[in-house]
Amino acid sequence: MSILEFPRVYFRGEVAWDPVTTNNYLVGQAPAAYDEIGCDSTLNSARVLSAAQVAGFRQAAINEVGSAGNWNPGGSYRCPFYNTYISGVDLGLGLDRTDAFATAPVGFTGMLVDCEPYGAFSSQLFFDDMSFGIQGGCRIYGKRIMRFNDRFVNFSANPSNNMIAGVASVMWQTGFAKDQGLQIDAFDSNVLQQLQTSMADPDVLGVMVRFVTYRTVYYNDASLTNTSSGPAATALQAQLNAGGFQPNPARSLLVGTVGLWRRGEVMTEASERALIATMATVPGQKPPTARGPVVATAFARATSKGIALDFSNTIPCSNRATDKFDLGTLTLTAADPPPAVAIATIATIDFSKYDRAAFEATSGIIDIPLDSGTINQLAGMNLAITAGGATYLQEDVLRAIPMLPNIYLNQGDSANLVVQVYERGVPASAGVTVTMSDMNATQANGVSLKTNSAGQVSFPLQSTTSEIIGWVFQTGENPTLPVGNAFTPLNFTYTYQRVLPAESDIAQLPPSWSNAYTYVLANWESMAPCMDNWLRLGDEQQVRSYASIIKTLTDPVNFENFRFMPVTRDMSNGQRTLLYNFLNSPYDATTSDSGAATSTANTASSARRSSAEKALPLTPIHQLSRAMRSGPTSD
Amino acid sequence: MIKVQWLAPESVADVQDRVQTAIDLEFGTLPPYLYAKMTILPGTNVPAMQRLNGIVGQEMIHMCLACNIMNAIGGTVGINAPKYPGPLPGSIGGGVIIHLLPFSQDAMAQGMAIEEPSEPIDPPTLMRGAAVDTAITIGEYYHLLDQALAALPSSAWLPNNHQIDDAQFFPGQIFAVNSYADAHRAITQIVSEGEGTPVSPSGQGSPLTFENELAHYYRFWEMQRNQVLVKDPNPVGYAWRGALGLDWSQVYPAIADPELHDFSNDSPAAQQVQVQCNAAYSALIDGLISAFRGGTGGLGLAVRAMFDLRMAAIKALATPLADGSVAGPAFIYTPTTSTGVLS
Repeated sequence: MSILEFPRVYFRGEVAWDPVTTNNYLVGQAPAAYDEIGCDSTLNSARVLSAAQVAGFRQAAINEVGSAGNWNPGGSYRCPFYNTYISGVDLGLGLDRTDAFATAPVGFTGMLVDCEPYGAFSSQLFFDDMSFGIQGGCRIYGKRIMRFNDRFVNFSANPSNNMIAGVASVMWQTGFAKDQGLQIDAFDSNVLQQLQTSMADPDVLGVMVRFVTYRTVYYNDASLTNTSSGPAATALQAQLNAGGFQPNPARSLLVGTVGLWRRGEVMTEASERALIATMATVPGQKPPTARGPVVATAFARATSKGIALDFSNTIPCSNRATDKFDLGTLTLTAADPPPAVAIATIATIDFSKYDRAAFEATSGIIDIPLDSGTINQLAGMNLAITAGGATYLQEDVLRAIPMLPNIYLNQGDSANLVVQVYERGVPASAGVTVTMSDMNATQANGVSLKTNSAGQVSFPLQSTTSEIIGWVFQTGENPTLPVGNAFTPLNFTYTYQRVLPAESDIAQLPPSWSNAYTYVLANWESMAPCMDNWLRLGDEQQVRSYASIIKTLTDPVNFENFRFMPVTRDMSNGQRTLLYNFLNSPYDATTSDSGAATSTANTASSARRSSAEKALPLTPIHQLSRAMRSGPTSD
Repeated sequence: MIKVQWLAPESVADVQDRVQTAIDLEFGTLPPYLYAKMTILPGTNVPAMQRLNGIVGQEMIHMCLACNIMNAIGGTVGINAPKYPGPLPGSIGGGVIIHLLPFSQDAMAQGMAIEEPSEPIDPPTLMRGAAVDTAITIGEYYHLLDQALAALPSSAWLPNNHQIDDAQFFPGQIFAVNSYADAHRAITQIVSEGEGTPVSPSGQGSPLTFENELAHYYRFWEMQRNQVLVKDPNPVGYAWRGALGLDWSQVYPAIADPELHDFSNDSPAAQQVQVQCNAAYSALIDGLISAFRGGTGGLGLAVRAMFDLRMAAIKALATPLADGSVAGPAFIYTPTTSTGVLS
C-alpha cells in the first residue's frame, strides 16, 4: 500500500506561499486582527463595518508589518510550485534518473487557507488539478477530489533557519482517483507504463501524491532572522504604502513522491506503519523542549524487496543549506509486542543513506532490502529507529486516522466523522477503542467508541454554535486526557472542526447595498486587499455587474474549487443569503447608496447582530504556536 | 515570419539601443496576444486560454528580463507603446503587420509568424519546404545580442542597478542581471521559450523535447490547427494527435484593430470604457517605467494596472458598439497624470 510501494516517481523543487497573514492575529493582539469564531475582521477590537474602517484596517495591517511581524498583508493566497521537476523514478530496481519521465516539470498552484486561522496545524491547499509533465509528453494529470492538507508539522526541523516558521517542515498528501479524471500518458516512460498497468488492479484507487515542504524563506532572503528582518519589513511597508498589488510570498523547498493509492488507505495523510517521535535529544544539540532539533515521525511499509522507510519529514537539518544532522549509523530494530523484551536488529542505515544528497535523490525514502522471511516476520513486530544508545522513533502500533483532516460545518449542520484505525499499517479489526477529545479542553473524558469489523468508528459531530475545535483521536483504554500540552502534531492524529456562524439575523436584513456591504463585503474587502485586482468590493455597480460570477464563486457546491470565494471560506449562510438577495434585487440609482465608502452604521445600527458583541475567544493551547508563524519575536 | 534588423553595435550605447529593441519587441507581442485571449468567451476554449495564459506570462517575464539587462549595462529602460496595426518594433521589410485580432485562426497564425524560428521542426503530417531568407528572426537577433553583450568590458556591467527579481511575481522565472552570465541565462530563457530555436550550433534549446513547456511557436501552431502536438515513436519523434477542442465561434463579436475604429458614433458608455482601458494601459506603462527606474512601488503598481486593464476590457467587451459588435482595448497610451512619463 501507498507511495512506499513500487513504482514510485520522485519530484523536488520549490513552492511559493502567498497567504494573507492578517487573520493570524487574535482580536486585541494587534489593531488589525481577526475574530476566527465570528469570522470577522476587526479594527481596534471592533468589527469592520464601513469603508472607512476597511481603509483603517488595511493601513493598520501595513503598519503591523513592522510592529507585529505581519509579513504578508497583501497576499493573494496563491501558492505555485516552481523549479519543480521529476527527479527520478524507482521500479523496484533502485533510483533511475534515465526514465523518459525524468526532468519533466511539475505544475501545481493551490490556495493556502488555514481551517483554523490562528493556528498552525490546519493548513490546506485548495486546487483544481495537478500536472506532472506537460500535455503532449509523458504526463500524469490529476483532477482534484480532495484538497491537500498538512500534517506532521515539525517546528524543530531546522532550528538554524530561525525566521518566523522557517524552522518547520510539513507533510502534505492527497489522492487522484483513476475514475475521476486521472490521466496517465505513458509514451516511452517505463514508470508511467507500470503505473498505467497498475490502474487495472481493482485494489488500486488511483495515484497518491505526498510531499514535504521545508526550509521556508521570507522576504526572499535566506539569511534573515526574526531580529534582522527589520529593514526588509520597512521596505515592504514602503511598497505597500505606495499602493498597487504588493504580495510578499515566502518560499520553501519541497520533495515528494507519486505512487499507488490503494483501497483502504486514507487519502489525506500517511497511514503506513508509524514510527513516532520520542523527542530524544540529538547529540550536541539543545533538547526538543528548548527548541532543539527533533527527529520526527516516519513511516514504514513492507515492499516486494524489503522495507521502505519514509524519512521525508524525519531527519532535521543542521543548517540553512539543509544539510542533515549526522546521527551516526541508525539501526532499525524489531521487537515482539510486550511483554516480550527481545529486540532484533533488522538493518543498519549509515549517514550516506539519509544525508542531504540521499534525501534529495529519493525524496527521503530509504529502501532496505530484506529476505522474504524477514519481511513476513516484521509484520507482527514493533519497529524502532535507534542510534548511539538513543531511540529516536518508536512504532505506534494502533493509529486512529480521521478520513477528513479539516471539516467545515455551518451552524446547525450535522455530520459524522469516520476514523479508520490501523494496526501496524493495515486496517484494524473490530473492538478497538477510539477516544475523541478536544485538544484544548481540560476535559477528563472524551467520547469513546469501538471499531467495527472494518476497523472504523464514526463520531457524530455537533455544530450548535460557531466554534473551532481540534479533535484528537487516541486508541486504547487509557488515552492521555486531557491532551493539553501533551499534544504534538507529529504523534497525535487530529481533525479540525470549524463551525461557521448561522447569522440568520443577517439573512433577514433588507437586501440593500448598505447592508450587503456592511455585513458581508466590508469584512472580505478589509482582509483581502488582493481582491482589488479582480473586483472592487466597495463598488456597488461593479459588484452588481459581477453578480452571476460572484454567485458561482461563492456557491457552496464549489467549495473545493481553486477559485471559491471568499478564499478563506469564512462566509456564513446568513451572509450568503443577504448577498444573494442583494445581487438578485433590481438596481435603483435613486435609492442606492453606492458609497459603501460612506457607509455608516445607519440601517446597520438597529440590526447589528448580537455576534458583534460576542465575547472574544480564549486562547487555547493549539493557538499559541501562531507566534511561530508571525511575529517579530526574538530568536 | 518576422524579420528584424541587426546593426552591429560599436559602443555600449549601441548595445543599449539593441537591448531597447528587444524590450520593445517583447512588449509589442503583449497587446495582440492579450487581445486574442481577452476575446474568448468566459468558460470556453479552455485549452486556448491555458496556452495563451502561459505565453502571455512568459512574454511578460521576457520583457522584465530584457529590462534587467538594460539596467545592468547602465541604460535607461523605455516602455514604448506600439501602434496596432503596425510592424512589430524593430522589424524590417514590411512583411508582417501586427493586428489586434480577436481569438481566431488568423490570430493564432499571427502568433506563429511572430514566434517562428528559423528552422521549425515539422511533424510528419505537415512537412513544408524550409524557408530561405537571409534576414534574421527574433531568435537570431537575441543570439547576436548575446554576442554583443559578451563583448562588453566588465566595466560596462553595473551590479544591482534597479534589478527586479522574483520576490513578488513569477517565482523562479525573473532574476537579477548583474553580469554577462546572468544576461546570457536570460537570453537563453527568452529564446527557448519563444521560438525554441537552438541558440548554438550544438542544438541547445531544442523546442520539442516535451521535457519542458513547448515553445510559443508550437503552442500557437496547436491552436491554429486545433490539434494537439504529442510525442510519437515515428522517426521525427512527434506527431499531430487528436483535436484540441477549440470552438472558434465562442468569442466575443469583437472588432479587429480598435485603434482604427471611430468611437464617436458609439454610445457614451462604449466611449467611456475605451477611455478606462487606455487609462489602465497607460498606468501599466507608467508603472513599468517607474519599476525599472527604481520606483518605490516596484512592479506592484504595474501589476495592479494590468488587472485594472483586464477589468476594463471585460466591461468593454460587454458594451455594444453602434453596429452590435464590441471592441476590446485599443492599447493606446494616453498619459492621464502629470507624472506620466514616456521614454
